[in-house]
Amino acid sequence: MSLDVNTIFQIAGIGIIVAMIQTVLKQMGKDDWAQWVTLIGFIVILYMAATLIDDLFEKIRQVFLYM
Amino acid sequence: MKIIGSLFILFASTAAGLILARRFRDRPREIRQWRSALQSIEAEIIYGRVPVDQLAEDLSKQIPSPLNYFFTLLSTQLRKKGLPLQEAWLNSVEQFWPRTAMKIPEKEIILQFGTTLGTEDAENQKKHIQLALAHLEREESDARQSQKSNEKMMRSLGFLTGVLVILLFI
Repeated sequence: MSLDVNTIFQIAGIGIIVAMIQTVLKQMGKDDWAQWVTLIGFIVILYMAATLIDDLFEKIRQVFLYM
Repeated sequence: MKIIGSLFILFASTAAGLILARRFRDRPREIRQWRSALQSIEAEIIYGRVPVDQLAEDLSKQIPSPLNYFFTLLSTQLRKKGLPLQEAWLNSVEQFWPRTAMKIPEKEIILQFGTTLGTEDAENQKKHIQLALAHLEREESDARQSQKSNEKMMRSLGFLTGVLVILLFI
């Protein structure tokens, strides 16, 4: 349980930092870089969330479909 | 243990950002030093008729830090090794360039100026110096613009990248 809370905080932190990087880049007129940074941050967070959901499905299968 | 590691990462990435920012900050300053050096060369050649090896030695004492090394190199190559001026200029530029924050266009301007130095009379020499000065002035305003947009960005980007890497690894 505590592991999950940690991961959620991690995701929130990455989101904040990526938003700050994007703001800095956009202010300096590098819009394309800002877009790439946002995209990469999104992919990383998506991967983490997918791992969590994979854990959840694995657990559901163990509980309900245990042969 | 984790905290020590993350402090190391943060320190390293901030330092990298500062170093990158310093390269943007130093470039216009060094170009301006080159311009004042060229102006001294012009004055010495037109009004003083000083030979170039003497000129290089004088300039290596007068000019502030990064650029005086170039004239020290030039005067040792001219005096001790006895190379011809064009070759000594080329060698000194090649040896000096990795130490500076300047980029390819400035190098081309300086090299081109070196090929004309000492081949013509004072009047034409003055024209060549004016040409190099004009080119350098354009490069300097260019460098100033890129400094304005890049220096702050590199500094904050270094720090933020460090925090991001820590968050990814934690």
